[in-house]
Amino acid sequence: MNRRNFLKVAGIATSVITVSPVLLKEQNSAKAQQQKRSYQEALKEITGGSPVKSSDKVKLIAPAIAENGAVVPVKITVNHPMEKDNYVKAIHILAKDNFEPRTLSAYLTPANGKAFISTRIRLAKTMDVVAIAELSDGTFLKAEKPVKVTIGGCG
Amino acid sequence: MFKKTAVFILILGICITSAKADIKWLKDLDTALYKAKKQNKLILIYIYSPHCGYCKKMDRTTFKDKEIQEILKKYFIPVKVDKDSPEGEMIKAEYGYLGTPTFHFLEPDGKKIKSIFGAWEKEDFLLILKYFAEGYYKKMSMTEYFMNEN
Repeated sequence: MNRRNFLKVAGIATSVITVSPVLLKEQNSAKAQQQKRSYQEALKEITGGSPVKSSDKVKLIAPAIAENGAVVPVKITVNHPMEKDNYVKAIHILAKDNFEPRTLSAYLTPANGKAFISTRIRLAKTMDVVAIAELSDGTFLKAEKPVKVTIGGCG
Repeated sequence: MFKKTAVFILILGICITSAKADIKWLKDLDTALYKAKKQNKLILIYIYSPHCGYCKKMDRTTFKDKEIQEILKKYFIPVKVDKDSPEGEMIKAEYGYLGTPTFHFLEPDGKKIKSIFGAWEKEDFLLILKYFAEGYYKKMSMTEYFMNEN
């Protein structure tokens, strides 16, 4: 290695060493900013504070006991017309005690024909799962169901 | 004197009852297979670790429950193995391992039905045991069995 190459390598190495702590610090502060959101906060983000009415029009099907909390099957059907001016605009799933309760938002149009979704969600522990139907007139309907998962285990 | 004898008999009675109620865990699979075939019962293998807090919690609570003990006695041949013991290593190699506690449910002939990970509250574990004991596992998956509407 000649002197020119040595100086190039030394320069790059110095830059990396100098910049790394700055980057690491930024990453750490980004991690520190992540905070647990409450169910109420997540709900307000969806509804904007509008009331949410429990309704048997919203059918939430989920296991009473989920064998694996990482993949909990959930099916939601909203018995509501899907017409041009009267339809289910969105179906939201919230897992009440998850770090981030807002789990999924599926936006629909009358072209969907039926307000139905089927998915798998992750639950950190035993908690209530909430399905919220957002209607085109701006009203919100919901259904709630407790889902139990293992209390824990060791890896 | 009479009072002392009565207290002694009472304590002895409690000891005998609790010893009787405890689950009789087998320590090896061969004996379990022999018994399961003979009695036509399912086998429940419980892989634990002495360092696992969740296993200890289940031992202290769920497995002390009378209903759990009764259903295990009636329908299952229970086997409990340390994950690091030679028997534990053999079972892990044969049936798999998900962490502690791992529960393997086997047919009387040793064929695996299902493995479940984690510690469970007694009410939930009772429902899980019923799924196997009542033969629902032959008709539907565990998820289907527990799927229901709000």
